[in-house]
Amino acid sequence: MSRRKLVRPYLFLLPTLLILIVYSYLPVFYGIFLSFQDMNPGTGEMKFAGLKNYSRILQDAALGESLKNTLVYVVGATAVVVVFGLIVASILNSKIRGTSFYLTILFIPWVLSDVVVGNTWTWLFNPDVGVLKYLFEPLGIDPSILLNNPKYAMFGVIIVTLWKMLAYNTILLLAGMQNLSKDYIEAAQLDGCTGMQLKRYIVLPILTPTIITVILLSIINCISQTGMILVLTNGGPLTSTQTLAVLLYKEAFVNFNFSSATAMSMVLAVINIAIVLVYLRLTRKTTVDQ
Amino acid sequence: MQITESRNHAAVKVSKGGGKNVRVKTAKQVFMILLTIFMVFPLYWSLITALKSRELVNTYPPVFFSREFSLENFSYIFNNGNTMIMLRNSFLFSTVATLLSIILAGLAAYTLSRFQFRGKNLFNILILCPMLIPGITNMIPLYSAYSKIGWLNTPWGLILLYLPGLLPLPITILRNYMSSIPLALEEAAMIDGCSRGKLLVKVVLPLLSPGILAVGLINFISVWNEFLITLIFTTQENMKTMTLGLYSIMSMVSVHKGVINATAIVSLVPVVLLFLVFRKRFINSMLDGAVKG
Repeated sequence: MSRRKLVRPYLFLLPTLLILIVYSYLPVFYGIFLSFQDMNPGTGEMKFAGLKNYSRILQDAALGESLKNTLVYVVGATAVVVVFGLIVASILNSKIRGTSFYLTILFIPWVLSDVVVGNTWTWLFNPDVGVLKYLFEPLGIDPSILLNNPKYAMFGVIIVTLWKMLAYNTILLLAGMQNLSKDYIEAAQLDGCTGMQLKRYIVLPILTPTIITVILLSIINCISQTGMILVLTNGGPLTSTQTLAVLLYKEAFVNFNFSSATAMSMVLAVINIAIVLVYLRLTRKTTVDQ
Repeated sequence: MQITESRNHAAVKVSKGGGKNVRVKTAKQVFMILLTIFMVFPLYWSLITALKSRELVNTYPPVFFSREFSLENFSYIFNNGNTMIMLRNSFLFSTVATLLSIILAGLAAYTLSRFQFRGKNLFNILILCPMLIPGITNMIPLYSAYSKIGWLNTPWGLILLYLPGLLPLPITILRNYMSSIPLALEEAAMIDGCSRGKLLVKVVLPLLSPGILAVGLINFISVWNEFLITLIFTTQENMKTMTLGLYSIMSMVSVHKGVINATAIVSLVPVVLLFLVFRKRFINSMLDGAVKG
């Protein structure tokens, strides 16, 4: 083999590799470095700070509250999205009329930007002249509290997340269901398995790895969700929807307090990595089990 | 993978009573129709609002239909402000970033599916690992680097920032696509004395074009919609995209909701049209990338 031939694959991969190194890998290390520095926001001068940034954010009540909000958002949104995804996917999988029409409709919110999504829903939930307030008035409910009352605002954010993300989760689950071999089902039916039994003992176990993957993707997406929450509530009212990602965005790019913000971003990254590692553990187990 | 209405449960249904079967089917349709309303109504309301004048927008109870509906808000936004500049920026950034990402991802996918070389597995891992790091985590170090070298508010600086997010999924999709194309064609071309460059352009590219179209579509839409990176790395008016422009007028009290929603409609029409035209290919490649990726 000539030398040119040997080098060729690396040459083809080089541009992609360069982009990933400069824009994905180096920033992580630079970020770790920054989190141990005391940075003057005006001049950009840096001084070694040791663990000062970390101890400062840990003493700040805002971090604890944002972690709590993140947990509520991630668990709530993932639960809602996965449950609805399963329902819709199993309906679409059962040969009903209009499947491709419904899929197209479901996907429209998914191709919209966070800003369009945020604009659409803040307008629907408008507390003064909002259309939802008007439509639900006869029922004695005012849905506008779903974005404008600190007690309920997180519910509103979760509903909007469902609106945007349902299509993506449905399609993953639908793919899992269609991969399910007909042989299993027919064999179980020959053995006298019916309706619910079939779902409980055959379909669900085979679908479990797909469901776990969908849960992971949803968790990862919700943990870093920043844009949509910024547009919808800007973390408010008060700080009721301020997740860690939103808090650190504001700390960095509204207050320009890079030292605290990088320390927070490391906390966020560690949480994210821990969840992926748990996922890898789980999937290894389920594949061994089968 | 194709979306087909699966026959998995067909046999189960037959074993049930006929009356129950119909009721279940009706219940499913009712559920899907309610879901369709939930999905569509918000956008319908945004569109209706875009057609209202300043007076109509703020009436309560809200107006569902009126003879006074007009396109005045649309003509207003095209005649005032930076709408044309923002549309131009959106098209420019999306097109250039998409083209670059296709070239890079196409080369990488081709290499991964057609060459055996040391470090292939390492490269596969290197593509996936950035998924571990939340996007916002990298923004601060990159911002601080950009402000030092003066790359804030530059088109190329912005496009390079979009790129890492546009590579992993397309590489996966195109690699799967390459694997389904038989090697024989390329071998025949090689035997006929075709050079590697010619082979890429004349043989591989046409074969790969359906995959490239799907990937290009996904990337174009994702850059068009990009919000956070653009928000952080641009401050100048002449760098604003449609998405960012909508964000900046959204919270202005002086701009009425009709104009804001008209801007939203203008910013969503290109991507929704692209999606509707290519919806089959779009959905199928989403399936493909997500299942195998």
